[in-house]
Parts: sequence; structure tokens; C-alpha cells
Amino acid sequence: MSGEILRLENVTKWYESAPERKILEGLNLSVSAGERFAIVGPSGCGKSTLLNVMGTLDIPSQGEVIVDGISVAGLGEKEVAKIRSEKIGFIFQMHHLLPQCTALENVLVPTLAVAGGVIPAAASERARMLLDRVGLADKADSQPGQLSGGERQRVAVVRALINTPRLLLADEPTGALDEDNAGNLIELLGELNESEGLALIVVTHDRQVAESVGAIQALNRGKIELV
Amino acid sequence: MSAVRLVLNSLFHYRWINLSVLAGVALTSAILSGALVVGDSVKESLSRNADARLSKIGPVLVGGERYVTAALADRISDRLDWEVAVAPILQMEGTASARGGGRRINKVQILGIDDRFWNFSIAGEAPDGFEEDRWIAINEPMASRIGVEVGDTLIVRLELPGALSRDAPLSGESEQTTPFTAKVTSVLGSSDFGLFSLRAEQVPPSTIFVKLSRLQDFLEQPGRVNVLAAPRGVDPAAFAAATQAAWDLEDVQLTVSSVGDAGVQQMVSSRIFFDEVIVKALRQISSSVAPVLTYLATGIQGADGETPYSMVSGVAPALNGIVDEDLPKNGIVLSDWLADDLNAAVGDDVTLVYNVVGTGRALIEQSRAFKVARVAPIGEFGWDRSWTPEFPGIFDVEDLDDWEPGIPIDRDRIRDKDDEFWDEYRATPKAFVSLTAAQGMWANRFGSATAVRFVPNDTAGSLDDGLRQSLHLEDLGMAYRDLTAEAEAAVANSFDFGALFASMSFFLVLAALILAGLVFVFGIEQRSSQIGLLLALGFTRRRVRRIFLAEAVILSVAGAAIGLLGGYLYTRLALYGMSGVWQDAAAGIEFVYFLRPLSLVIAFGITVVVALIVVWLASKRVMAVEPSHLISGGEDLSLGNSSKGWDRIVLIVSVLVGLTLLFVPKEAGTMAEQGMFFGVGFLFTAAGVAACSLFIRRFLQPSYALTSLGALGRQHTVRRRGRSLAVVGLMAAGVFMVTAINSFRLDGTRGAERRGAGTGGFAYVGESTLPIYEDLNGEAGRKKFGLDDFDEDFSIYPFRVSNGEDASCLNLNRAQRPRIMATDVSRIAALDPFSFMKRDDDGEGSGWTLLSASPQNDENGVPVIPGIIDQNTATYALSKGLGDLVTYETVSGDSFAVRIVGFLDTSILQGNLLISEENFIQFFPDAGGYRFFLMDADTVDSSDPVAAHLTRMFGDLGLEMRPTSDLLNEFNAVQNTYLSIFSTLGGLGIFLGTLGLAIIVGRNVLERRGQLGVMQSMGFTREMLARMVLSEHWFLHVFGVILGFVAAMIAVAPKLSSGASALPWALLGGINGAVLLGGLIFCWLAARVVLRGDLLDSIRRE
Repeated sequence: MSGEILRLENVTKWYESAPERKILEGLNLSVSAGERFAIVGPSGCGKSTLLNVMGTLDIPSQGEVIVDGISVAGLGEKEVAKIRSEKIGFIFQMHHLLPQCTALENVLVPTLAVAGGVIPAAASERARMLLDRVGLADKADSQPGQLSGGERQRVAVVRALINTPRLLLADEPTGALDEDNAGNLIELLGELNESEGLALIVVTHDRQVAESVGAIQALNRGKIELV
Repeated sequence: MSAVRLVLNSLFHYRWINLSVLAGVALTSAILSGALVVGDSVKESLSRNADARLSKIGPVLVGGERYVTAALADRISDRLDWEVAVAPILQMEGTASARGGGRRINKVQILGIDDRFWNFSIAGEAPDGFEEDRWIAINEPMASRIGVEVGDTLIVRLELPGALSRDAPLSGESEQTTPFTAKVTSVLGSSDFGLFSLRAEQVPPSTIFVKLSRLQDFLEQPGRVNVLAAPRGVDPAAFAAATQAAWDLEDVQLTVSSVGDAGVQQMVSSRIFFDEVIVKALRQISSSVAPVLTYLATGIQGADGETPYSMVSGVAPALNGIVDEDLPKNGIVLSDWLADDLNAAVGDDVTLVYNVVGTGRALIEQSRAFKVARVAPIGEFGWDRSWTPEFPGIFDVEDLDDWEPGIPIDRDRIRDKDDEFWDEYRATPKAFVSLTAAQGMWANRFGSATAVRFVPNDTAGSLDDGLRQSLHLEDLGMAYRDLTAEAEAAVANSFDFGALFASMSFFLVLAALILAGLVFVFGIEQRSSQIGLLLALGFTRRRVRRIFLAEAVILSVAGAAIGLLGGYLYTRLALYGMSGVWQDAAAGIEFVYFLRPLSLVIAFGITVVVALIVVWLASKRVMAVEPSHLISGGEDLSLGNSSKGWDRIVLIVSVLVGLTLLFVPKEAGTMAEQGMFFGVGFLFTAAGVAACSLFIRRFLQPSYALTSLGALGRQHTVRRRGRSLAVVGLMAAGVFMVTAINSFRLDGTRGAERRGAGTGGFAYVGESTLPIYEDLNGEAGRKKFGLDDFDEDFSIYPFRVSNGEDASCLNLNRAQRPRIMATDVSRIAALDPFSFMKRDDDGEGSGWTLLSASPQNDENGVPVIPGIIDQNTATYALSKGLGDLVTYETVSGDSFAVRIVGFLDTSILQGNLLISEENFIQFFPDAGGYRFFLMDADTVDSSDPVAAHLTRMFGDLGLEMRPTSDLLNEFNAVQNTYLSIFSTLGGLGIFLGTLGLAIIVGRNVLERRGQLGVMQSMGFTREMLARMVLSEHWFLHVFGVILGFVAAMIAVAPKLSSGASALPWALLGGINGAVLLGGLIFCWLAARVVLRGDLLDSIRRE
């Protein structure tokens, strides 16, 4: 898998409550399949905003976001949601697993967004395969309350991969994990980046985590620059 | 920054949440205050109704069947020395028809009044035109009921007052109704005293006002009245004292004349038979008192023949020259005319044949043998006509052929010599017997003398003064009544609509409070991190809680105060409903809005206290969470899945016990039945909730296939299982109550032909305005009224009726003197037509036999007789239980009590106290004839021609026969209307409760905002998320509604299948449909509103 998966063109972002303060300013970025890097920066510099804009969760105030050749500007909620469900996977600091669902079911939840509210038969097999891959095959039928913090986050990673996205966005994915679990998770994400050929962008304030990811881009005053 | 400032800032900052809490509290306050003010308004309406009814009248003297002179009013006025004169009133009851008989109304009050009456009206003056001789007015209610206006002609029928009860022997013919035709010249409204009535009933009677002298002339009662009314403000005791001091012989219908030469006086009564109390009083002023009892012998038989229709007198051996002390008890003194006619001499046997009146005016022929002790010439020894009282239909009749004594006269037996005797001597007795013998034959409940001869003591003053010393008007059956006090008591103890509406608004109040509590907790949960922060900063939990409670106090006080304004709307709507669709609950009353400040204070206080308790309880759980957790707002992954199988146990136990209760035999209509009914409902609802718990628990099982978004949504119900089950339980309980309670609706037509039903299995019931004296089951009666022409086999059960107030549910006032009815106990006991709910014995045989007991004196010497009454009347209208006493006064002014020995189930006899005919006759000798009739026949349809014939035949007496189910349904309409009110208010409450469901949707969504944000990042659109959220809550809502409905159907199934009840499917469909739809819509709206926010915000904040 190759080619550009994400391009930001002259993206500027401010919030209506403070239009004079530009979170992102004239930002240009291109992300190719299989590429991976971390975005670092001090608190409040706009890292998560950038990630949300890249993941189409947020709309830039100016500029354009193009995902896998499709410009997001002007698309309706359904079309944008379709892009997210098919091409982008998200990992957040909090796993936000559904407590009443098993690990397997949690992984399957995103497939409902793709298949019009019905889980395809093949999805279950893939989910089990992915869980096996992250070492959770025996926990597939466990509920989140029965899993450790690291295991929950791994389930969240698998959940992000279930729809075979081309871009994986992780926002402080290790924020709620201890050092060992954090290292393991980054290692897992790296492996997936390589094996699945998906682009991986990790937003973190943790320099060590960023270095573990590989390339580092720093966000400063709304601009991004390679470190 | 002070705590007060913090509270005020919080109130403003979270104003939308707080406004919602405020709205919930305000709604509670509005409902409570509105309900209480409904009670105030009904009471005030009744009070104004009483004012319009009595206006400025205070104490009254009610003569009933006794007529005093109108002049007595003047004498009382003189003694009272009050600025407003006592007014004489002639009050009668009759029927009226208009438009050639095309329209007729019964139970019309006919009032003869003069100028003085108008002093009591609100206007305080006579209406226009009253000075005209031909003035005649009707009141507005009558005008609208009969559809006449000024200028129209009315035909009024009323009974001419007899000298004595038509039940009394020799009282003349019974058909004494006479019509008079009059053109209506005025229609009187309430300000002109158009609503005047002595009865504490809110439905004003139809009244015709006639000038007193005109009515007196028509009734042949010149100068006589039967009500004397004093102005309000006059002390009732002073009025009674003034009356006692002012009455004279004429007022008690007595006249005295001299007989003979020895200063002997004879007192006679225009009522023919003497009250025993008068004889006793005379003994106080005369040492020589000799009662006389003269009677009609239908035959005097001697050895050689018979003399028909002769007067015979019984006298004591004093104050006369005919009967001396030697006359034996079986001795008789014959007039020479009679001795000659019978060819009898001293020592011969003669037999007196005579009729006495049994119960039901049946004539019983009796006879007694005498031996001739003496023969005396007519005209000597004082043998003259003065011994015979003025028997109606006899005394003043010119020709013997014109006799109408009230007993059948065989005119073939009357010979020429009898005519000749009549022409010469008229009603002069033909024979004398001893007083003892006469009283043994002819004494009756109306008296044992027809005259009293006496010689006044020399020391006595005037005869009037002497009699007044020991004789009181109450002794003669007249009654002093303090109408002001009676009206106040009737209103004060009237049915409490405030409590009724407050209790019926229970679901509304509950829903409003739950809403307020839910929103408040919702607000606290939103601020959970603040709570955690405050706790972390060193605030104690108590102090933090106090800050929140301070907010709650402000919201509760403000909400409760605002709600009082909303209460106005509630009251207006309730009064509007009771004037319209719910008018059966309070028929005949014109409602006014009236507010007692105390009601507002009570509603305000209750609302504030209850609201604070609710928020205190609601906030308890949030406050108990650890501060660190509150601050982090960490995700709660617990599922509360520790049911430990209770749901399975509850399900099995509830179903088993519920089924047992459902089919265990229970007595219809008892509290046990009602208790079991609700028990069954509760158990099946609990079983349903337990089943729901089990059902949603399976969502956690690995076998549960997560196949769709809907399935995922339903799976969410497990997350807050307690909350989910609470939604189901509350919805189910509400729907159950509103649905099942309607099975208590009563339908008089169902099983109407069954004995034991509310109709007693009787086909028709009739009530006449004027009494009917004839035996309609006897051959003579049937022949006389053409009832023998019908092939239909029918039987009439007549009831005697006392004057009294309607104590049924149709009268909102507390009846002060419930009406008494009486019938032949042995006859009705044989039929045993009505169901008893409770009896004061072992329950063997018919409960009616309990009435057979004779009066027993209590420790104070007051006679106590047994009575039965329907349970609702006893409980709600009289506040009496089994064994309790209801006290009355006899016609002689003495008290007697009716002890309740049995409770009837709801029936057409509602509102009446039932006693035996024997006891009735003893205590109400003046209330002659029958005025309530039950007709037993095969079916209503087959006996319809008979009923129609009776209505036609006795139309002049105001008899109207109608199917018993119609009357029963009139009573049932009250209970059914209460159920409609409850259903409507309850339905509104549940509908409001569905708003709570919307709040729960909001809470659930906000609690899962992070999850939903992540799902959005996965590509779920808002629409998909809404679908998921709705599938969860719609599932709970629909499950709850269906569960409640099914539980209700199971609980009412036995009642429905037995035909004892029917549900109002349209009303229930409307209410439950609205609840179902309302819940679906509110959930949808809530989901839309909550999901409209930025779900990703919660993720961003991480």
C-alpha cells in the first residue's frame, strides 16, 4: 500500500470564542501510507486540535483537509462519517470501552458504522484475529471491567483497526498507562504500522514516547516543523 | 467569596438545570395548591348554595303535617321584638305539568308566602308584581327543567291536607289530589329567594311561589301554615321560647266547647284522634278528665237483625249521664232507636262489627259481642251528636248516600230508616260502650280518643296557659330547626373534594417530584468534579451538601411560590371539568372559585418540605462517591450485576402468589377483594420487572449476539440496570393503576336481573311525590287501577318514606337527617334481593330479618330500632360503622335511634336508612302511604307496559317508574366520574413521568458522552447514535407500558369475565396511547437535543 493518505493544505484553525488566537496557522502536511511520526509540543499548543482536524473530527477554519484523495470540505455529516469509518482509526487517552460489551464486542462496534447498523459475519473472525495478535485471544469474551488498563487500551487499539483504516491517529495513547504498558503499546503500534501498511500519527507530550514512535514533528505557534 | 455568593453564582451559572428543578417544584406546588383550592371552592360553592337556599332565615318551626295559624307568626314577632318579622309559610309538595301535560316534573315544592317572606331574600323586597292577586312565580331551575316562561300555564297537583293521616281509620277517601291551573307571572332567581329550600341538598328543588292566602284557600286551610321562619340572628332558644309562650289552642288544632250544664268542657281536635300527650296535659289542669272514643261500626247485629253503619262511643263513667260506673266491660247502652231496630232489650246479646286499618291501609274486619246493659232515649242524658268527631266524608254529609268514610260502603245495606235516622240525628252515636272496651277495639297509632271532656280546675288560669305549662309543640311532632347551624354543619362536613383531588393527583405530584429530583441529581452529577474539588479542598461532605441543599431550598421556595400561581389554573380547570365532563361528580352545583389562604400555606409548606426530602435523598448517592473519582470523572465500568438471582426468585414467587390471590374466592366488593386486587397487580408488576431484569441480564451472556445497532442500544440497559428497571417499574405501575382502577367502574345494566345485584333483580323502581295508599298487589287495588288487565306476572314492593335528606353520593352536603324508608320485612326477606356486605349477626338467613326486632330502650330510655343502610352512605355520608346509632326525633318530640345492623352493597336503596314497617309506623305515624316502589317482574321489557301504566295512573301523584338500572347508574355515575378524574389526572401524571424518561435519556447520554464521542470518531453519524440511544430507552418505555397493561388485564380478568365490570376502552386507549406515544416522542426529543451538542468535546478535554 503506498501513496498519500492525508494532506493538509494551508490549514488554519481558531475557535469562535477567541478568533484572534490561531491554534493552527497555514499548516501544510502530507502523510503517506506506511509513514509514522509523532507530534509533540507543549500543553495547549494545539496537538489534539491538529489530530482532530486530521481525523475529520474538527473542521479547519481555513484550508483544506484531503483524506485519501477526498477533500473533506463541503461534505455532509454522513460522508465525513463514512471517511472516518473506512479510512481512519482513532486511539484516545481514555479507552472509552462499552462496559456492558465484551472485548470482542467492543472491537466489533465500529463495524456497525460501516455496514449500516449490522455487523458483517466476517468481522468477528477478523476481530478475533486482531485480538490474538495483541495477545488478547483468551480475553475476547471478557468485559472491560475484567481487564487491566493495558489490556483495555490494547482492545481500544484493535477496535481502531477493525475496519482496516489507512490512517491511525493516536491521541496521548499512553496517557493512562504505566511505563511498561506504555512501551508495549507503542511497540504494538509500530508493528501494526509496518505490518498493515497504515500511516500512524501519535500525538503526545511525552518526548520518550515520541522518540519510540520514530520521526518527530513539533507543533509550535500553529506551525509544524520536523525536529 | 462567601458561601452565599457561591450558592447564588451556582444558581445563575446552572440556570437551565435550575429552572427545570424550579419547574418540577412549581408543578408540585401548583397541583397541591390547586387541589386544595378545589376543596375550598366546592365548600364555598356549597356555602353560597346554602346562603342562596336560606338567605337570611335563621331558626324555623316546621309543622310538617301539622298546621299552626299564620297569626302565631305575629305573636312570636311581638315577643321576639326583632326588627324583621317572623314569616308564615305554607310548604307543600306536588307535581306540575305544562303544555297540556306534555311536560311534567315531580317533587315540586309549592310555597304559600306573604310579604314577610321577602324580608329574608337577598334583594330584601318582594319581587315585581307580588302585590297582584294572581301573582305566581316559579324558580329558574324549574323554568329550565319544565321549559316554561312567564305567561305560560302550569297545572299543579297537590294533595289536600287531610284532617288526619290517610293511613288512619275513617280518614276519608285517599284520592285527594286536586289540580289548580295558574299562569306564571314571574321567574325568580337566587337573589329573589328562588332557591329557597329547607333541605341541605345542593340541587335546588323546582319551586312554585303562590300568595299565601291563595294557597290556603285552595288547600282549604284558611289562616293556616306549616312553617314559621325567624330571621337569621335570632337565638334559636329565644325563638323556641317565644313560640312556646305564644301558641294557643287553635295552633294545635284544638277547640273547646261547653257541653251540658255542669261546666263540662269538651275538647276536640280537627285531627280527629287525640295525641296522648294532650290528654296527659289536660290532666295537669283538670282533676276530672274523661276521654271519649267514637268509631264507626259497620254493623250492629242483634238476634233479629242488623243495623248498618252506626257510630258507637266509648266513654268513661264520668262527666256523662249515659254510662255509669256499673257498666261492665262487655256491656253496651243502646239508644232507643237502635233497640227498636234490633228488637233488643236489656240482657240481649248484640255484636259490633267494625273495620280496623292494618299496615298498608288494609282493612281488617273485626267484631266483638256485648250484652245490652241499658236502653236510653236519644236526646236525653246528653245523648247527642257532640260525641262524634268530624270524621271526614261522614260528619258534614247531607245524605247517607254521599258517605265517603274511607272504607267500602255497601249501599244496598242502607235502609230507608237509616236515611231517616241520618236526616234527624246525623252522626249521633247509636250506642255507648265503656272507654276501656272502645279503646280495646279502636285505639290506634294516631290516638286512643276522639274527644276529651273535662272540668277545668278553679285554680287554673286560662286553658291555653295551663296547657302550655306541660305541652310543647315538639310533643305534637313539630320541630324547631336552627337552619343556620344545620347549613354550616352540612357544608363543614360535606364531601372533601380537596382531599379527593389531592389524592387523585397523586401520580401528577409524584411525577413532578420525580422530575424535580431527577433534574436536581442530574445537575449535581454534572458538577461532580466540583464536589470532588470542594471535598479535596477540605470541605466536609456535610458542608458541601449544605451548599447544594441551600440551592435546593432557594429553588424549592421559589418554585413552590410560583406554583401557587399555577394552582389557579389547576383549580379553574378542575372546576371547569366538574361543571362539564365530570359534572356527575357534583351535579346541580354552580361552582365559584374560592381560595383559603391556609390552603396555599399548606400546599407551599408540603411542597417545600417534600421537594427538599426528594433532593436530599437524590443527592445522597452522588455525595457518597470518593473525591478522587469525582474529580477525575473516571469511567465507571461496573455493571451492578450482583442480582444474585433475586430476579428469578421474585419472578417465581410473585407469579405463584399472584395467581393464588387471583383465584382465591373473595367476597365481591369487600375491602379484602380490593386489597387482593391491588396485591395481584403489584405482584404481577413485580414479576414483570423481575422478568425484565432476567431478560436484560441475558444481554451480558456470551451467547447474546451483538448483531445490530439496535441490539447494541438495548445492551446499554444493562449498564444502569437499577435505573432501567426503575423506568420499567414506574411506567408499569402507573399504567397498571390507571388501567386497572377502571375495573371498579360500575354498570347498573350488567346482571341487573340478578338477585344480589345493585338493582336487587327488580325490573322497575318508582318514587312518587305524593303518597299512594292502596295495596297494588291486592285484588281490589289491581282492579281499581286497571292492573288486572295485564298478563304479566309482577309484584310491587312498596316502601314508606320519611321526610329527610338524601344521604346518597348525589348529595355533596353532609345529610343531617337521612331519609328513612320502610317495607314489609317478611316479604322482602323472603325475596332477599340485595347483597349484604356486612351483618351484625352470624349471617344465616336473610339480612332483612334483622329489622324485625322491636324497639329496645337504651340506658337513657331512648328506644333503639335496627336499621340497614348501604355501606358507602354509612361510611362516606354519615361516617357511621356497623353498630353505630343514627338519632331521630319522633313526632311526639322524643328521640329514637336507629342502630345500623347491616351494610348493603351499592344498590338502588343508596342514601336511605331502612327499617321495618312496624317500627316506621310506630315512630312516623303521620307519614301515611307509600312513596317508593320496586316492581319485580320477569324482565324490564316484558313489564314495560305495566310500568308505563303505573306511571300514567299515578302521574298526578308524581309517580314515575323507570328501570332500576337507570337509577343505579345515576349513583354509579358518581363513582365512575371519580374514576374518570383519577384516570385523567393519573394519565397526566404518567404522561409527565415520560418527561422524566426524557431526562433519563439525557443523563444516560451525558454519562456516556465519551463513548459516544469515540463512536462518532469511528464513523457513527448522530442519526445512528440517536437510533442506538432510542432503541435502549424505547425498549424500556414500551416494556413498562405493556407490562403495566398486561398486569392490569390479569388483575381485572376475573372481574371482566364475571361480567361485574367493563373497562372504558376508549378512555384507556387514549390515556395509555398518549403515555406510550408521549414517552416515545420525549425520548426522541431528548436524544436529539443531547446528541446535538459536541460529543467530541469530552474527548478533547482528556
